[in-house]
Amino acid sequence: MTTNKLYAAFGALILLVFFYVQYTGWSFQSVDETKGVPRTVRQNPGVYRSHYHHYVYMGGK
Amino acid sequence: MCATKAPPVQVKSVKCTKCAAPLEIRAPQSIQTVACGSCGAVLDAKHPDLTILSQYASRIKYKPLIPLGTKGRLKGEQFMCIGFLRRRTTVEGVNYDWSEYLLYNPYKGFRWLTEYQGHWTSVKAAHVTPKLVPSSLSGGAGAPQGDYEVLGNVYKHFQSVVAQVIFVVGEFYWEVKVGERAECSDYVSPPNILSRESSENEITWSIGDYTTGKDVWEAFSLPGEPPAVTGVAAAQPSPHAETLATMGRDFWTFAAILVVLQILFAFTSADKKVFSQGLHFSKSSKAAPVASMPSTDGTTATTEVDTRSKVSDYFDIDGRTCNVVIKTAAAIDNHWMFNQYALINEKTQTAYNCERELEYYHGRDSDGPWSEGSKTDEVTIPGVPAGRYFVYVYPDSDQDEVDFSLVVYRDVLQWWPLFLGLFFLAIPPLWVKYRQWSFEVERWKESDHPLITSGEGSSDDD
Amino acid sequence: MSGVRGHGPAARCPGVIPIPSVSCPSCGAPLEIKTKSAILLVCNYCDSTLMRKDLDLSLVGKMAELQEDGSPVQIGATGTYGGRPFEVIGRIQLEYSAGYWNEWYLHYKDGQTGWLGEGMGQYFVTTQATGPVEIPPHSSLRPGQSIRIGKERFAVAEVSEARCIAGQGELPFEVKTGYEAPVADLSGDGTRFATLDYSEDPPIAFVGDRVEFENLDLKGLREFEGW
Repeated sequence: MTTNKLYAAFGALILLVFFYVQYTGWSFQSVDETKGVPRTVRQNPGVYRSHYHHYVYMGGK
Repeated sequence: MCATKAPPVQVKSVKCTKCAAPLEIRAPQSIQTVACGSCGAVLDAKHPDLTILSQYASRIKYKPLIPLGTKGRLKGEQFMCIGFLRRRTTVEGVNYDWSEYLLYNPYKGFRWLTEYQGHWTSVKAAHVTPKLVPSSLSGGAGAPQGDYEVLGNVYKHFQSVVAQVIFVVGEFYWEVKVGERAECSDYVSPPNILSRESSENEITWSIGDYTTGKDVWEAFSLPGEPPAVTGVAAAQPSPHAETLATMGRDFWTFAAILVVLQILFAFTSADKKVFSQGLHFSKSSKAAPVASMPSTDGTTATTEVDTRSKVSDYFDIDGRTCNVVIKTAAAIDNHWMFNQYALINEKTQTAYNCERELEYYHGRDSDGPWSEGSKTDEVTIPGVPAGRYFVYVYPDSDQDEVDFSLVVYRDVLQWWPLFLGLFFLAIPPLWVKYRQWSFEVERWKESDHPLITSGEGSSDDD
Repeated sequence: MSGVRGHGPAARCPGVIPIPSVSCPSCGAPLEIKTKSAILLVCNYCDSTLMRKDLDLSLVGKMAELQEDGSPVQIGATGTYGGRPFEVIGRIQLEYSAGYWNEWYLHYKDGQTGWLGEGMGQYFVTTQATGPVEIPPHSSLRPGQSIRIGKERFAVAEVSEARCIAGQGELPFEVKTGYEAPVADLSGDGTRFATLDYSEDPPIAFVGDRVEFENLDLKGLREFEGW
């Protein structure tokens, strides 16, 4: 039965994805990477903000 | 040892007593009546003169799809088609007609092939007495209560009707009469059907197997194509049943593997706290003055110093590349806090950036005390290699002063992949189960016990 | 659909007599007697009906002709039932409203005897019920009615009238052509089956099983052209 073979393949894929996700600790939460952060960030943390999007939070509620 | 004096079975060629049409009698010793297809006379095969027993006048003549006299091999057994009947039942003013072919083998006796809307059933007398078992269904009007069990299979009551013979041609082992009525009840256990026919002094049970037109055509080497199939037959095996059974088994196997893997990950995940630090946010720091700071390389850089941005102390993340969880706990009370984080690798200067919002509100209204949001939060950063790190944080809040803490863990077990995995795995079986259910709705639609009683049943089956 | 067997005292208490080889007093053909319980013999060659009293065979008359009924079974055929091999040694042919029916007298290898009811491709292996049986009168039988035979429960399946046509071979009782036999077929649990024979008073019950042709492993059957 092709349906059953497809499902077996699908199940195997789910298992693989599951293993990958658990092994690497993959997450849905958005995290972006930036390379080459200036070393001065420790002395003057303020400089870092300009390296990535500055987002002004307007508050909840 | 004993010489048989009787001649072997031979085809007898005779003429119809009524219309003189040529008739062939193929099982002369085993049959009782012969029906002439040309004039509708039913003749007494036991009488040397073939006396006329009855006469029917059918306006419509039916032509058997399996010509009388055709020999075939059905499920490994050789049979000859010797008789054909057309029967009818009338339900709420609607006529339902079907065909019955009588098959003969001198050793094995008689079998039937029935055909209704292109669905075929190969039927033989039950050699086991069906056993009455309590019914799972409520009996329809006038239906015999209960289901029957034969050799461990439970046959569910499908329908009880009064069947009438409307056309006959060929040879029969009983005195066939056009217009003859019998009470028939069908019980199903696909692909088998159990039928009970009762007349005044006899109850006969027979068991049928669902057969495809293709099988019948192959068995009797018939030319052309079998009649097209309409609807779902009472005993038609569901095309989804086997798929569903296999898929169900596969689902539980995959689910078990998933759970075992999760348990293994739970045992092996380090879930190690690598760093924690308490921090403070002050609103006043927003308006911090621009100041000069000496830089580490000895040069003097004039930079705008934002005292709100913080960096944590260094900490080490060891082991294989895995996830890192930053947990935030903030002392907010009817306020929000919005933190921009970066986990920065000291050596590669790679930053993993994310933003987290916390809010915690509470109060009291007519329903009593309420609260929403949370003072804690966590964020998962996937695929972080080993190395020396620090956390950069740019906090913001509408509360003047906030004490908050950061706790960093590595290799934290996640539960959502398990549940999401199980959810995805369950979708195909649930879909097939729905298809199977729709098929069963179709099957039971014409029975005394439809699954859907009001309105139209689902009919999306192919 | 079934049969009648009648019975005689000898059917129940076979004497301990050696089985001799005898010849037909009418035509001199050799006769082989297989069971100690044989009462009636029909000579294969001249159709003489012979009654057996100890070692003597007395000529009773000529047996009526059997009717060609298309039965595949014949005297001399062998088979197996419940792991016990048997040989067909006698036959009673009956006629009832729906056609012909045969009761074949079986001689099992282990010395027991029994019956194989056969007609229209259906097969029933039975033996006479032992012990007292309370059987309601034939006229009161209705399909579906429950009847107890020994420890078993049966339901009436069919009530009919049969007529004996002729006997053949070796039989445990006398067969008279044309005798009327009101009969009833009963079905029990699973393959269990019984026949009530009202040709005697009190009626006799035969109890056994419905058997499929394939499961009897019959050999030495008649051959039919084209089958």
